[in-house]
Amino acid sequence: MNSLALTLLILPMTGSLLAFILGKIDKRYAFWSAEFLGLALFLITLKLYSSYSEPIDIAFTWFTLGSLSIPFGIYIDELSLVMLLIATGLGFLDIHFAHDYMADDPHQPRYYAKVLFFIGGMILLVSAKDMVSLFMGWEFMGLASYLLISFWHQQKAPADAGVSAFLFTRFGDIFLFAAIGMLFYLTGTLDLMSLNSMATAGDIDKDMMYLVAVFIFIAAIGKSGQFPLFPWLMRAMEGPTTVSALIHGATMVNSGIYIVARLFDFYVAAEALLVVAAFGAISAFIGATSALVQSELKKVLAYSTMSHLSLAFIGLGAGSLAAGMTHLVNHALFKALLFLGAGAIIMSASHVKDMWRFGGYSKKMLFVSIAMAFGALSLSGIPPFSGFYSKDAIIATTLLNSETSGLISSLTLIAGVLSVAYISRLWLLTFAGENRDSELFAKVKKPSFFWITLPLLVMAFATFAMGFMQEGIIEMVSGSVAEEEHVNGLLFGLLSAIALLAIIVYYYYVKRLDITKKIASQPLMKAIHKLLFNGYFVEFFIHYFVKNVVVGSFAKTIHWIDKNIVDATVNGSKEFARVVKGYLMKTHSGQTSDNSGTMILGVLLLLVAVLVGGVL
Amino acid sequence: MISAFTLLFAFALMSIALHRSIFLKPFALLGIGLAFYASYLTQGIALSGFSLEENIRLFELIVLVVLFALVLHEEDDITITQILFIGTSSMLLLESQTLLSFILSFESLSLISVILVTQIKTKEQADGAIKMFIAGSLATGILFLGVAFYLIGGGSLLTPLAQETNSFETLGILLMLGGLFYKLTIIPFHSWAVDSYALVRHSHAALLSGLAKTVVAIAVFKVFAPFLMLHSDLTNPILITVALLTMTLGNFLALFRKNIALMLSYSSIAHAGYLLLAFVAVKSEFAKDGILYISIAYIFMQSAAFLVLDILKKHYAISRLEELKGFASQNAILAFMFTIQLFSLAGIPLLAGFLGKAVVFYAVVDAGLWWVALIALLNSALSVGYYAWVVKGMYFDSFSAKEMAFVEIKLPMSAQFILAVGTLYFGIFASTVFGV
Repeated sequence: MNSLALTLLILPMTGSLLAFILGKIDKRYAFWSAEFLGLALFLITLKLYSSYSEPIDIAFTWFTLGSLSIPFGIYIDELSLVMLLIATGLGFLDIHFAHDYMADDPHQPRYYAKVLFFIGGMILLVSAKDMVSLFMGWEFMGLASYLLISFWHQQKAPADAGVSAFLFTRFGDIFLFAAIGMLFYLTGTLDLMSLNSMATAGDIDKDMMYLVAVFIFIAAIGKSGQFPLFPWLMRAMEGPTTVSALIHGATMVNSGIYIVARLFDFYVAAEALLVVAAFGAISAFIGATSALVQSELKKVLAYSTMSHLSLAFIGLGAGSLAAGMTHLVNHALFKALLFLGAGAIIMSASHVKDMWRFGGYSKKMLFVSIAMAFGALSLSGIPPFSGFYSKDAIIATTLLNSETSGLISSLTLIAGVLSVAYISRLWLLTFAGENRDSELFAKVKKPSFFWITLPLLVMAFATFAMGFMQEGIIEMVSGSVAEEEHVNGLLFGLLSAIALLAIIVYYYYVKRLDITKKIASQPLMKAIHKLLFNGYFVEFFIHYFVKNVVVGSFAKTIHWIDKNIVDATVNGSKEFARVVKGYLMKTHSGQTSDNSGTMILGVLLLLVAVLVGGVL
Repeated sequence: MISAFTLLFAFALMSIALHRSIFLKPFALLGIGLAFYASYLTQGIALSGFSLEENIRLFELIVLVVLFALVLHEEDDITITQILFIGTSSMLLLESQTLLSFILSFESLSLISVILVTQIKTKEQADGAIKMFIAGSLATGILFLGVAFYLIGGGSLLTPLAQETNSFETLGILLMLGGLFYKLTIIPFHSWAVDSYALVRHSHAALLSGLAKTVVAIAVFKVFAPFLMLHSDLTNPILITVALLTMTLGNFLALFRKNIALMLSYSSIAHAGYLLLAFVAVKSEFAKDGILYISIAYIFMQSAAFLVLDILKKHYAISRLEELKGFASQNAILAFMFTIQLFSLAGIPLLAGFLGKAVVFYAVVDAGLWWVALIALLNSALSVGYYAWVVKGMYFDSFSAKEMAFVEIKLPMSAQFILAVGTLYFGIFASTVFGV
């Protein structure tokens, strides 16, 4: 098993090189090597999964210097396996889908190399035994995400979006790095399992633990696109849709949740879960409400991703590892499905992303519409689709936990129920009703069945089937099947609210679009629309703060110091170096007699030194 | 079991018969490969008076890898044979156990080095060779003066170096060190290196400054460390002064060089200062790791850098910094591999050069000499300046030299590849070294 696990780690990285090199010979080879490797990775993961008996635990030492020992280890338990299945399974389908999606792109070798590199980073992250390998995977993914968002870097928007993603996540990463340093200083170990057990045993100072937990959570916020570090996620939609599906819908954005889940005992002992739940609730609300008014197909999904990841955070924050992680798993699948479905639509519609120019598309792409309907049903939380179980469990957990039962559970409830509104709006505006741009509609091509529709149908089936496997998933992610927690009337209330909202959306967006437009033109509605459309102006605030406070006053002071004090010193030392060099040059004439002279002089000096040292 | 030494020696002798034939290079490569295999398998003593410790065995393997790359790069028949001979005496030097075997193998290495550079084609090469020869003779004189004192004091050549010594022996050992420092290009025995490294053929300079220097450093450390440990009160002031002077002088003089080879010569002297730090920190338990690690890093990066210069001179007629401008657009792969080696020399993390310096500095701090480590660190920071300058020139300046026809340079490129992999591997997988 160990060798298999190591293969899993090494294969994507070497494969990344291979795809690039083969792609240089013929760009189609890049796809085929990536497809083959993607499948191989998935099969290896399946093999690991099917023959799982106990956690794979491989401990390497990166290097040791006396008492300082830097570990680099692999640890694959059931939680890791679930994440591995998601990463490799969806990774493979995503590569398969890209065959058509990226078919016209001249830089395919670069694309597939980066995607494989990304999958390698994700695998490293979820099979990390200690903070070092985890951080490495974390950074690999960050790099891959940046490279893939700005894949079309010749255009300005994707290039800017890449930089934005890099800076936002980097901001969080600094805190993760600081947390690792603090942990090493406090405990002397970086092993994740020992950290958990030490925290539970109370071996670490509680206040410091709280600080470390908050620091790690800030990094998680950055990576998972939560309030207030989410604007990069919306901008990341400038990248290829296949990238959005894999990285910004299904895998990388989960890593923030994964790290909290991995250190769940630590968070429990540090009593930092409430922070997680609180920020989760704010993000869930912002995401769900903002998703309601977006006009771009992918932006709706991006805000929905933010909101649903928040739900998973809330689940963890309310104290239920099972609820949070199950929702993460379910969400990864149906969100990848929805993103790839969106990719199919965008591709067929000559890369138009504006939903208001779609409509009636189910006539052209029936299977895509069905698959997306499955995803939408699961996202809305309708039984028996997978999303229903986890969402219900999260809401029930928040209601039952006395700390979260007030504001947090209300926000969660609103966000949970609103998801039906924005996703049905998306589906209805795209597939139902009359089409609103006949010119575009005429040009819509039917997507290829094998490359585009088939992966969607596979995922649609999986998201349906997973509804019947919830107990197994819960057992895998949390180690045991807990007694299901029930809140009387919750199920009935939720379902009726969902049904009501769906009907309202249908009425206002399909039947009476004219009324909707009239309502939307009211001044108050316009203001609300603007607020939601811009994601509560969070990005604007951050820019304002950075520009006026950080750059405006702080950086200007530093600049002054730099110019008048540091530069003067540097210039001075440069002059100094020049003078010193002038003198030093004189020591070397290049004449053989002088060379020999210095040597003799050296021996004489040595003798003098020895005499002074008192040997003779 | 046949030892690596025997194999290399046999192949070196036989290779003479193959001159002017296309089989020479494959034959030499085969010899080195077999020696690698033999060295990998051997456990015990090969010749009387010679033995192998575990960490030195690792270094021996690395020397063989670098020899392989050097032969791969080389086109000149005589040089290939001489590389094999240098490899032979390197093996002997590394395995030497008694003082006699150490001195004999050191002298044979020096002698072959001199013969190597006497393949004179231009006036400059003659200049470099003569300087090296004269300095080498002087150094041998000093070395043997030391040996004489050591023997007068009652020391024996047929045992390892004495630890408890009387005054005569101490003086003798210090003089011996002085003679040996010539090969390590440590102040004040450095002057010849500045000229010789820059003037002789670059592939020869790669052998002298990359391979021979590190082999000698490891061997000297192995033989003299027990003595230095006992007499550090006496030797440390001298060694610290010399080490700091060497690195500071080397770095300052490298800083404003326009000739790349001259810059690398000075940087090589600066690195001798870092090597010497391991001798300074000999009391620390990490000094052994330190010398091994910095030597491994140095042998890869310095050999590779001089071999790149050789390619640049031979195929692109580039020898000055301004001619290198925009070189990345000419040969992106070579520029990249050169960048790896330069960054490693500058001590950028995740490359062997960084860990080498880090471990040595750590050992110095561990020995209680944090201020020495601080000065060394400042030196290292200073050196980033001139290495980065070259990289900047290659990538960010527009191409200025005349357009050259594209030349197929497969074998030298594969040599570069081997050395670049070495630099990367030992930068990342540090535990391979610390494990032994």
